[in-house]
Amino acid sequence: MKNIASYLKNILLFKPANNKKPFMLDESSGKQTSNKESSEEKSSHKSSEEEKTQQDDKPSPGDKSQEDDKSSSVNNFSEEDKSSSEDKSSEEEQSSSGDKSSEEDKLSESKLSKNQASNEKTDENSEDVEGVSENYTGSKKSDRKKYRKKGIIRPIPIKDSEILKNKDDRKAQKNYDGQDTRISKSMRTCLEVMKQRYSADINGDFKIREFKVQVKDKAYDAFVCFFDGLTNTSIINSSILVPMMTMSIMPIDTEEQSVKEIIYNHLIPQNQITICKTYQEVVDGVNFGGIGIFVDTLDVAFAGDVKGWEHRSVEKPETELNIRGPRESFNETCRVNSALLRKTLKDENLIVEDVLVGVRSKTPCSIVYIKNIANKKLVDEVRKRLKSIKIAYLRDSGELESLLEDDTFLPAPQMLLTERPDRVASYLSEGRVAIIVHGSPFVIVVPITLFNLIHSPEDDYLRFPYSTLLRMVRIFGTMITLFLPATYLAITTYHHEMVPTDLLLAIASSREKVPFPTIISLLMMEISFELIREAGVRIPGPIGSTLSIVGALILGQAAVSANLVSPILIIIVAVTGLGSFAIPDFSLGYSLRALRFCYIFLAYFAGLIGITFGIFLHLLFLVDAKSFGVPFFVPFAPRSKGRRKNTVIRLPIWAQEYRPDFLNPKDIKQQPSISRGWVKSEKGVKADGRESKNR
Amino acid sequence: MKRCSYIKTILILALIFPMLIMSGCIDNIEVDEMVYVVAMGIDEGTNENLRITLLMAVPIAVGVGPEPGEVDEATNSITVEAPTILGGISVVNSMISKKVNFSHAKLIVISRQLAENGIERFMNTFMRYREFRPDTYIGISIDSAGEVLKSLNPVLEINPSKHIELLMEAYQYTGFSSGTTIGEFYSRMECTCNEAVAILLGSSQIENEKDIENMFSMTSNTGGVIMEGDYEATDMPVIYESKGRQMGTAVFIKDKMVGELTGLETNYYLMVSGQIGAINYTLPEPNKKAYVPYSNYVSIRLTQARKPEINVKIEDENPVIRIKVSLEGDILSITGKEDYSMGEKLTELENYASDYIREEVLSFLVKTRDELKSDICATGKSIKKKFLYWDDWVSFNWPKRYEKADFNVELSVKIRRSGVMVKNINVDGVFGSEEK
Amino acid sequence: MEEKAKIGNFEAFCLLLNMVCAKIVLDYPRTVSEDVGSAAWIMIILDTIVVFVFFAIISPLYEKFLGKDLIDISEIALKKVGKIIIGIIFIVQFLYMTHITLREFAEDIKVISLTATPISVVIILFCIAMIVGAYLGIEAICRVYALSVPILTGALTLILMLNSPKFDISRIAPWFGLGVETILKKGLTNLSQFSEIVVLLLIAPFLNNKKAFKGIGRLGILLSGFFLAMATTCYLLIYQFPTSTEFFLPMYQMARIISFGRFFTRIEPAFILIWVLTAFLYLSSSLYFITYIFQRTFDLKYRRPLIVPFIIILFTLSILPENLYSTLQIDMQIYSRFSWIIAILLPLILVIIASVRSRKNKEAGNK
Repeated sequence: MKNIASYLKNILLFKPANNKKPFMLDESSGKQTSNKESSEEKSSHKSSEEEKTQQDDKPSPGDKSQEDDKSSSVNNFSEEDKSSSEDKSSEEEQSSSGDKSSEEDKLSESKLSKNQASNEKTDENSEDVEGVSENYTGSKKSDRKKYRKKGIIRPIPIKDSEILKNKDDRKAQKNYDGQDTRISKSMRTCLEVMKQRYSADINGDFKIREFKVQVKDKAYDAFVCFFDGLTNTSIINSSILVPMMTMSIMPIDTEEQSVKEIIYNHLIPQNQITICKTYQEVVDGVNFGGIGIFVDTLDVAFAGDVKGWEHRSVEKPETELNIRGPRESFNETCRVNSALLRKTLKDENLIVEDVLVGVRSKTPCSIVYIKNIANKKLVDEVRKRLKSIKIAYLRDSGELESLLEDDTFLPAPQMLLTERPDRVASYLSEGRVAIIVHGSPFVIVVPITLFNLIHSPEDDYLRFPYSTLLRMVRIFGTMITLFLPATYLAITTYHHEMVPTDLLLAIASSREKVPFPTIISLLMMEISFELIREAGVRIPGPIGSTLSIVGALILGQAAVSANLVSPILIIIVAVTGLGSFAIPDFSLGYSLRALRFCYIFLAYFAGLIGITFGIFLHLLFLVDAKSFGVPFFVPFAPRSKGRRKNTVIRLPIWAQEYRPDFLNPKDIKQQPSISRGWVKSEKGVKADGRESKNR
Repeated sequence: MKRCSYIKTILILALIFPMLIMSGCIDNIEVDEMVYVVAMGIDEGTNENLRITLLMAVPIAVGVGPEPGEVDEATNSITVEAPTILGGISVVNSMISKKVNFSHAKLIVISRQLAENGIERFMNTFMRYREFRPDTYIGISIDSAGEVLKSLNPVLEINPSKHIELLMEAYQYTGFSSGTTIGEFYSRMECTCNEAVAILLGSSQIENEKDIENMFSMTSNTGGVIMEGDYEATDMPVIYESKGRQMGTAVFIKDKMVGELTGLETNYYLMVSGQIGAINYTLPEPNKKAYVPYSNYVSIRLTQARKPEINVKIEDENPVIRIKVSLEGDILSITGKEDYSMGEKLTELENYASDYIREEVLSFLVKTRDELKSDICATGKSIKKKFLYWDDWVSFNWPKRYEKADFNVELSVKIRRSGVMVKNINVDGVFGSEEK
Repeated sequence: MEEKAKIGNFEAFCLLLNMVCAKIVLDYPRTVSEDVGSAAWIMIILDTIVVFVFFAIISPLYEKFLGKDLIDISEIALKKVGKIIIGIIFIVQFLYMTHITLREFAEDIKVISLTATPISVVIILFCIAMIVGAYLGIEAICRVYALSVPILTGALTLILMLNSPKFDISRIAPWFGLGVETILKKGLTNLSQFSEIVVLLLIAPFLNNKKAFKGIGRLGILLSGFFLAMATTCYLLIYQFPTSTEFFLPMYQMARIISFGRFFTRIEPAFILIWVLTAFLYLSSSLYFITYIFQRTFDLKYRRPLIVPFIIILFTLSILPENLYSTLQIDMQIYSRFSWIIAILLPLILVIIASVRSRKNKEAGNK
């Protein structure tokens, strides 16, 4: 548990603390300067926009929002630009920025930050701004509409605009470097802003603690804010409040240091502290289980990581069961997942690159790859796709999967979602890329081929003859799922001569009292099987087993004795069901179960010819598909170089000398051609030169 | 672009599929909407019509129906007269509830009368019409084909198709019939170096022991024992509930039947043509004249040791056919007092068996040459290989030359083992003294 | 405009093999046995050798034009007008070839399985597959080839091998069949059976490894010759000469008589998969080539809009012959007599002219 707790502390929004660089902004400063050029170039736009907003502010917030629409459409360009420079600091962790996608990414965020800006305006000196700020947090049109309605009901505080007009403070700040959400020096203002942003009077779990810090014999007002339940209060007490309130009295040689540095360097003995210049940074931290520390007279705030929310511990995998091999599974916490991977791989080249996805949710996602194995282009492609995603809330990797996949309509998954760290680790070591999504126990692996979907994690841990056999069984199961009902239908309605006579007579006699055509009874049974399956998943545990008995035994038996279906059909449906459970990949299983019905209809229409027709189209679509640039049927179609040692069959582990060729890894060779040093190198001569006795 | 492509594809499919489904499915027919013919018999009817008898399987009596055993008879026969086979089937279809399907037919029986006039017209139907399969057996009935079908009711089985199929395959361990299928028959019928044969079938009139005695009294002009299998399908000395009989071979020239072989002769036919399985062969005891009453016998299980080698040479315009047959066998039983299972006696038995069977084979070959004039053993194949051009071969006219052929048969029988006994203690010889 | 396709060596080889050998499952073994009797296999081997020699002449000449296809070469050889004429000739050739094959496959299916279904429905079924295949392009089709051709070859070999107990060597005697003269005479027209190898000159620019062109062509010709000869020989080993000319679908007939014991019989519907898959692959790639040649000939930007018009043309053409026999006649009498001139002789001439011209141009350039 201790380990996990410490992993938890390594949260996003933050790079591991570096002693040499206490200020996180150092890294971004260079970027900012580079961005300055662009911001300067567009400064004319900006100023014009400022004027506009000022003008807009005059009449009423309601009108302003209307104007917002217009201005956003008119001044899209300038807005984008502005936002990009604004958000740079908050997103500095995202190592590579400035490429097109990330800028586009911010386009949608721009509105948000703008609203924040206006919030600040209103907050600073008015008590009567609740309504305004509340509504301003919304960026979507619907929200605005709501606001508009409210705006009509509410009396419009005219003085707001007047106050705003007179805000020199704000203007000065703006002129400083164009960021109007910078933290105010006045602790009171900050307090107001934070209260405002978190609606502290309504939000029950948002806590603010005010206190005093003594630095250089002077007491400064300060407060911390955090979410109760999301944070570990004992850490807050011991690592933040106690030192700040008590240690400041201790004599330290701090004459040459500024207040800010003293507090950062001496008074907060917490391992992850960020210095934030904007409210947004603090807010992002606090939202994700951090603590915001504001001290009067400082133009920065500190965001500390004190995560301590309740979460599942690392448990056994539930969907990918195995007999051999490790039994840990991912859970819903991003850092735990990355830690599990690190624990498995133990490689300093393993890169866990953080990306925030979700305009509002800012869900932390991590791109995981091994630096000197994974192809750079692949990593770039993953990063590009991930950063380009604009979605309000991202909750699960399943959502991310459908946002990232190459082809939405393809009847097969194009990524592998797994909850097993060992599996992800083995894919990473081949040069693939994994994506961890905070809040989802499933990690996405890209790119994959069809053959990865029929592999089970256990394959690697079993001796090779068994695992090859198991794969054959699984492929057989896949084929059965897809084709057995259709083939049965085709044979019994088109190709009677194909059935051995004895069996045919048996089928004919069993059908004698069945009133429905084969296809109807087949569909009936298939659909009821799907029903049982779906109901079995949804029904609470204890009842579930009852249901399966009811479904499997009684329903089948009753259907036969009621002459609704023939007994042979029950066997067909049951075997099909069994086959579908043998498909290791959940998503592929869904796809095949759905396609089974297509094949049934095709078989009904033209027998085996129909099925072949289906196979042809199915194959065409599958071979045309790509998963992150890797054709779906590689290495068979197109045939890639290198031997196919781990596809349909799996050769012994010592024979798998090369990583998959189609991934173009930086290092193709996995192990030397003789990976077992003890083995005989020549005939009868062992590797160490001794002669074999059995020569 | 990509997404667009799929939408287009889906649209096209959505437009075309209903059309297909509406116009398709025409061939879709349920299993229980058809009746499966197990066997078909063709007789000469009145006024040059054909009398077609269909033996149909009744699935509920055979399969795992709701109430098994509800129906007693596993087969049902129907007879119709029509000028053609398929015409007759149409008539049948109009009166029974299900559609007649031939795809599981196992046997087609043609009466001898029709066969002697040529059966090419039927063969054409069987080969051309898709439902008839080339692996259906073809038989010639000595008397009415309809009768044969009706008497072929399964006794040890409930499944008529299995019954017939196993019955027809029995030649592999009896050697009494040839197991000819339609495809094979057709191919040999059109062949230029080979004549066709068919299974000989019949229905037995024998009800009890007396009938057997009568039959023997009528036929026993040789005065001796009739070796097993040395008769044709109708006159088998068998009393059995099922009256259908299979014994011997019908011999054809082109598509016309010219004669019969008995069961025993069929053995020799199979030996020469290399189709023999593992048969039980009864050999009269060596050095004793065959067909002597109360003679002793040696039973051997004969199999083919090597494919028979056939060589044809043309000497003085006439072919000399050299046939080398290698057989091997196990001793199954010795009824006499001599022990042939070891030593010199074994060699003696081998030599005797070789000579004995060689004589029989030779007389069989002479029968095909002189009486039947039909090269059913495909001896022409070896001479065909010596030709380079089709026209030369056709003008050579092998069937005519076969009538003047000389035979030179080499036959060797090797006894490999002698059952579970390696030697035999003679009960009379135990005390040794009595002989003196 | 679609991306330029990339085809691996193996896929190209599979394409070639299937294009040439697709006729095995149609009536090819029958037609050759009708032509030269029991000596059909000799003729096929001779043809293979002749085509191989043709290819051996073409390939070094073509190496100068690596990365260019037949249409480009005809432009080099005969300028723009010539290119259009040659393009049209090839389009007509492919249309002719495809529509006959389409009709034959449809008849095939109708005889084998869907006996009551109208022929138009069967053709439409094929057309849909062709549209999808041609739409997704040669890359996707070739990948399906790479997946399915090994299976198809295996299944074909299985049919032939399962029949081996029934083989009788005397059935392919007399050895020279209808005579040496007939073999040579019919052998010339039967060169048309290899006319599909012209696709190699069309897909050459798509090849990943352009130098592999030579190897693919050689291996493709040899192996397809081998399969054609093997299938025909096996067929003749089962049905001797006069009988062999009777059956419309020799391979089907062979699949029908497979029987091992009581249970392993009547497996021929399983081989429908082979028939139909071969047909789908052959036809969709043919349609692709028709549209591709059209696009290249007239320098069009898009290829996909051509699919529907051509499929309508093909559908109409294939529905035209009145009956099965006339389809077979069209195939045997007209197509197989003349198509070798277009498919084998014409490319050779074009490549020769083009290489002469380009050399002249080079010389002129040097001077």
